[in-house]
Amino acid sequence: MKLVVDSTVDLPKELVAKHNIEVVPLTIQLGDKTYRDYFDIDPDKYCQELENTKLFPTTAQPSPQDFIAVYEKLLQKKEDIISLHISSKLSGTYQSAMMAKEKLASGDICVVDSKQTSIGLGVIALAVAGDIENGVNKEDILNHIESIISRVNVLVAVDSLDYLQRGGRIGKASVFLGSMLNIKPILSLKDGEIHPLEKVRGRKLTGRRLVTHVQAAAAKCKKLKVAVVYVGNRDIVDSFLEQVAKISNVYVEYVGKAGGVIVSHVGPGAVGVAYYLDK
Amino acid sequence: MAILYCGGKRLKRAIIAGAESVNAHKNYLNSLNVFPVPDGDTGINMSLTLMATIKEVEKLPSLALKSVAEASAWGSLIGARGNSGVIMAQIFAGFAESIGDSSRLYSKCLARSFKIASDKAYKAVIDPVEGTLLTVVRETAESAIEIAKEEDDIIELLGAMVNRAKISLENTPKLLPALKEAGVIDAGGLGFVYFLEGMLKLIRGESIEEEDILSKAVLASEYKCSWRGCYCTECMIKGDDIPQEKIREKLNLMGDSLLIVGTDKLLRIHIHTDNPNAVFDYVSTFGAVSAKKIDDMRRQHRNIIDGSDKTVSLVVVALGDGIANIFKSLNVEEIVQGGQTMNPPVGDVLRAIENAPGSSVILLPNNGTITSVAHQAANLSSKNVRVVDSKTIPEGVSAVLSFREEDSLEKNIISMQEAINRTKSGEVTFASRDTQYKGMDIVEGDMLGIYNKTIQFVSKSPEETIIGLLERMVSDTDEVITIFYGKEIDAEEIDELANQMEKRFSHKEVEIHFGGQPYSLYIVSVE
Repeated sequence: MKLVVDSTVDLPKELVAKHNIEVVPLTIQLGDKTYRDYFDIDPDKYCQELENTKLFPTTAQPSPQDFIAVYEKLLQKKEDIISLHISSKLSGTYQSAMMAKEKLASGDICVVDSKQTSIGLGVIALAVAGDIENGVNKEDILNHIESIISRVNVLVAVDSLDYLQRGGRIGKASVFLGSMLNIKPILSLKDGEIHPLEKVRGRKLTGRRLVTHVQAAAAKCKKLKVAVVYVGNRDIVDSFLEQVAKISNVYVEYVGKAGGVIVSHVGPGAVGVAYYLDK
Repeated sequence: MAILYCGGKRLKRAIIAGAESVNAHKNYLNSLNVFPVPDGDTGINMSLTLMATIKEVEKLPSLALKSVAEASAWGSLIGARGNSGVIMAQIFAGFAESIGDSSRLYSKCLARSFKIASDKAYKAVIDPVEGTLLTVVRETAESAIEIAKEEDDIIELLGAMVNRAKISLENTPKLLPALKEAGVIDAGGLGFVYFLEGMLKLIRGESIEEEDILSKAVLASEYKCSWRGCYCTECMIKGDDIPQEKIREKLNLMGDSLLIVGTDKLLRIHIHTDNPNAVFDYVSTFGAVSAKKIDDMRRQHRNIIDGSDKTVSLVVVALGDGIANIFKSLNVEEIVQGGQTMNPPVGDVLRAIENAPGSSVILLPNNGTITSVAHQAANLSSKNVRVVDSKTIPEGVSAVLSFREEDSLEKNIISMQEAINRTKSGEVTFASRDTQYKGMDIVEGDMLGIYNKTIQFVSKSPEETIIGLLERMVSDTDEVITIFYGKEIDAEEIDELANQMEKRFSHKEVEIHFGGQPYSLYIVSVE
């Protein structure tokens, strides 16, 4: 069995290689340049480019053909496929994967809407990869996915709401717009959509509030898995990790970089945190 | 010649005389600052409250004791400004309640009414402080009870009360260190003495007239005690010559717990009935009905438990264009003009609450002196109003920032209170007069940096003072400093301040905004 994900998974390269995960890239259009997420440009370079341009990026889902190519390759190797993707409310990627599956009309392909993206998608993908390595059967893996989707909390601290607004993904967080104060919003990704969570004064308090949320969740369970994604703003991540390390029942799974597609929608400087109780 | 009782006509004249006596002394009352911070608005607040009171009393056609007392309660409630105003309103309200249906107040009843009024005033203040107006009222009322046991003459009773009030007043500096340090007596307490003196003068100078005008109001059908209705129903009626007594008689048959306050132009009605719409239909024949409210009392309890009310509006009290704009940008629905030394009348706050779109309202007074006005307005409103007790603008801003539309009212109130608790507020203002404070010599016009109700730093320059103040406020764990500058500060000063802040607080996040507030040159928030 093989796991296929899209590039919004934002998993570190080493983990993708280690767990033998297939990644299908979305594409980024910046001015007249087109990049395949991760394949053509790495997160730090893209972030720099974005900060130094007045152009505004757009992103595009993979075509069904992109999925067909990957699926066919795997099917020839007699692999069953679990294809796990960004929330269908945020991107047409899931749609493309479904169309690819229908076109192929043969082979065992299971396309799943993770109702998450980035760090939220990443922790689910990692759990699935582990299940595959442990020889867990497909039905149990799908149950496991549903279970994590229901447990996972994803918080996103953004520098500004501009990118979410211009990219059309702001959702209910639009209530945070228009403030005259320098507010760093913390949003949550729930049921596939962006929700407003908290208005925080300034960057430095953001890290502290993120820790508070993790702390509160940790107090309610035996073991809490945490993962972090960011690009730029390493200082917040460092102080967050330092604080979180002091909580005895928190286990940090990985720290990743947000890829070009995610950064195009949340803007440079955003930090994402996923956490869920480990069963 | 002795006067053995007080009827509606005499009460009306006495209240007017008392109010005019306070009004005549308002500037002197203002001058009695209890602190170097100029909070000298007691005289104006009391006077405005009492002027609103007599306005209601004067336009009353009825001279029934009960109507006069109720009109004074209503007028003072609507016009109440500042703490002293709210306390006076409570005194009138308690007085009115104690009268019930009696048409004459004899000496013992009068004393008892004062006592009930005093008790009510204590209850209205969340944190009663001795050595203030409250103490003077209470001690006067207590002695009135004793005196009335032996004394039937109202002139003598009032005279003794004035004397007792003065003794109590002279004692206030012993009870309240702030007064002693400033070398003054309590301004609110003195206002009450002027009020009593005004009443006494009127009663002494009056030739005795029998007042046998027993209006129908006094004969209003008795209050029913059984709980028949299960809908708590409220509304206001606006019109000309609203026949209050006729409505009272009719509504008394339609339910119980009937409360009618107001005048022939504006009436507020509260009744527990099984048929709210029949009540609205009936009263609509006398004028325009507004502020309708029907609460299913059986459901009310459940709603409080599961917090199912979703439409919550934010209403704040604030002063300054800049600060108002900041609140607006944070989705605050209504802003009442008011703050330190400019307490809004209860009517203004009430209007803002009623204008806000939500069926529930969270009200932020943003100043310690407005807390009781806020609670008064909350009680008067037909909406479900909760006061989150922000004592400063920074506390209000933090509370508003923590508000979440999708959360229940109860959850929001808790998180707003938490936000208030983690916000430090300070201000820079100028000393209104020469004084001494904790060994510091303060000269009129000095800049005072205040935090935690204490003067932390004094200098001649506002910028020097704010830096000095912040150095005492900011600790290592604080991250964000927000400065709201007042309307007296010009652009150059702000540039200079921004430079200074950059040097001194480079490791913190600093925001400087135009607040436009009067009186405070700078308001600062540290979190």
